[in-house]
Amino acid sequence: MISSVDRLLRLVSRLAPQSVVARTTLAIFALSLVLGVAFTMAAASLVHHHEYERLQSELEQLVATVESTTQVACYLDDRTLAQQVVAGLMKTDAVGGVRIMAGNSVLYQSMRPGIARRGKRLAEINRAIASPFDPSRQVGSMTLYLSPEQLRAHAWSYTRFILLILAGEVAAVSGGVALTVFLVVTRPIKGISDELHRLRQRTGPSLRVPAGNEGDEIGRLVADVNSLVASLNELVEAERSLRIQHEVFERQMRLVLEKTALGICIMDEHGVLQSWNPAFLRLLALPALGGGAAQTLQQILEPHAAEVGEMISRCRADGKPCEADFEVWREAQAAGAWIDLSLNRLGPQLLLGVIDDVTERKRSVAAAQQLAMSDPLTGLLNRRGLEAAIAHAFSAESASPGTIAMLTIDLDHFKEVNDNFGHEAGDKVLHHVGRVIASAVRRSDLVGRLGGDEFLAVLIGVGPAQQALQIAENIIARLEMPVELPGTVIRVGASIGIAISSGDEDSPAALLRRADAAMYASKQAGRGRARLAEELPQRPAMRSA
Amino acid sequence: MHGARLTLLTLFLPLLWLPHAARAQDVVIIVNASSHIRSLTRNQVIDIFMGRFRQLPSGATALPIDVADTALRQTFYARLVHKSLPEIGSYWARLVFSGEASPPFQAPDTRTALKLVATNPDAIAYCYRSDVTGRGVRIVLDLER
Repeated sequence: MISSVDRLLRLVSRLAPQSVVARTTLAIFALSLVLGVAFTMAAASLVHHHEYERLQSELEQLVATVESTTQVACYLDDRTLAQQVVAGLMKTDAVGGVRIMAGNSVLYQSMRPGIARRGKRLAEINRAIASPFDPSRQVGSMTLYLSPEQLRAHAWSYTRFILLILAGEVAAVSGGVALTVFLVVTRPIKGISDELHRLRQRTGPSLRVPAGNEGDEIGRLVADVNSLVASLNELVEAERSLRIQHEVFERQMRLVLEKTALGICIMDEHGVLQSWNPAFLRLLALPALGGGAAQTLQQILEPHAAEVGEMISRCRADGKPCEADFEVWREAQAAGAWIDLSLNRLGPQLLLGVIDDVTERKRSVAAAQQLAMSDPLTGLLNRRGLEAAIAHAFSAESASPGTIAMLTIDLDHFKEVNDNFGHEAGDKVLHHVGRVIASAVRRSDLVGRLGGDEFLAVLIGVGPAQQALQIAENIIARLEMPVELPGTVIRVGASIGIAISSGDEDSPAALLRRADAAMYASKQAGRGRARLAEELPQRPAMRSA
Repeated sequence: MHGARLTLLTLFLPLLWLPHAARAQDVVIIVNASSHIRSLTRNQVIDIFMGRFRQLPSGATALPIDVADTALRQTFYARLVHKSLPEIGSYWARLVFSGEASPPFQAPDTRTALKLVATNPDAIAYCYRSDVTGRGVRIVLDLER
């Protein structure tokens, strides 16, 4: 039902003219026509009814005027008089037929052609006729029949009149509506539409309000369109300036990325590189990346792949930035370098990697460390350097006890050297002793000066105690050889105490104490000899490290 | 003196007129004494005098007689059909051309009418009751006031 109405409306709208005026006029015309037909039909029925009643009352009056004569005619059974009455009545068009009865018989009757046949269905007026001398005494009756043609003709003439008026009204209203719609709606809207059509965005002028429409809906429409266009223009303007700002900012950022010394890269959650800046390639001494299979940060920092992978997954998991230093090998420069890699999470699946070249810093730190840990006189480790190196050796060697031997070497008669030949000669002797000891042990062993004329050698991974003793005796033998200085020859000797780590319980300090004790024992035994701490009778240590 | 007599006469005039007026109001319908008709209804009298029927119940043709005495005639028609004399005149005038009915024969005075009734067995007339003296007529209807 709905859809068929819809379809009809669509059809009508397709057939209807495109002009609003024409469409409105057509609609009003059609509506007026339909209403007019309906009203006319209703009116026709009403008119027919009204006309019937009017004719009836007319005939009633007619009957009243002839009543007295009819009374006489009926009273006297006067056919001639009745005929005169009937002839008079029949002169009226509306009368279709008359019958006058005297008593039970027809005194006189006259019917127009076609009336008699219709019989009872005809409209009729019956009137009892009383005696002219006694109203209570009925002497006859009179029946008047309405002429249907006449009735129809009268009704039709009235209906036609109404139709004419309605048609005139339909025409007038349709025309009026067309004119009104054209003047009030279409013309202003068409003006606006034309102007809007010509309107160039941003450069065109605002729409003008049609004259007379300042206060109504059309005026408001124009005002709204104008403000809409204005705000659109503002929006476009703002958009443009924003875009320019954005471009400038982007150019600056690109410049910063390209010129910065920091290597910057963006990678996904698995470390696959997505983008990077020139400094990134430069710092890692990489050829231009891209093309071929995607590379991961782990692949680029190959020797540290495991650590880098661990960093990536940690950063991805907790979202906290993490940082670590790595040593890399730069093929092109054939040199090692240190980089500092820091990772930041950018999003759920993106990571930002920043690489800084920390080679210089690392080097200066290493130099400072070196400086702090070595003895400037002999170039060997100083006491602090020794302690650090021993601690390192112990942590590395703890798995295999009994393999570290500590040799405490004390020069015999060194005081006399200083006293007799001066400190300069003493320093030279100490330098010589350091070189002798260093040459007597393997490169992997530790050699340092504890202070004064006391040296320490730590043999790592040494064989049985006997081997350590042999090395000690070798050192003593070589130190007893005269030292040739410019202009003089100096002879010194050395006493050596040896302690060998015997298990987990051995701390470096304990080992040193034992070596010290052994060294004192050999000094007391006459100098120029080496003693194993393990061969000493147990007694409390006399010195602490 | 002469004036006083006149005044007296004027005073007594109504007394002189009153008995006459009372007598004049009794109008009766009379027929021949030998007629079989003993009485008539008012409608029968109307039908006979106004031309509807001229037949008596006996079958004979009735002969209605009007009286040219205006006062009597006026009283008669007023009492019988409640109509004035001009109305009666116009009634008959209407029927002049149709010819179906005609007005009753008119006697010049009551005496003539009475004589006609007394001599004609079919005659029927009217008069004041006081005029019915001799034999030969019979009252068949009294038109009361």
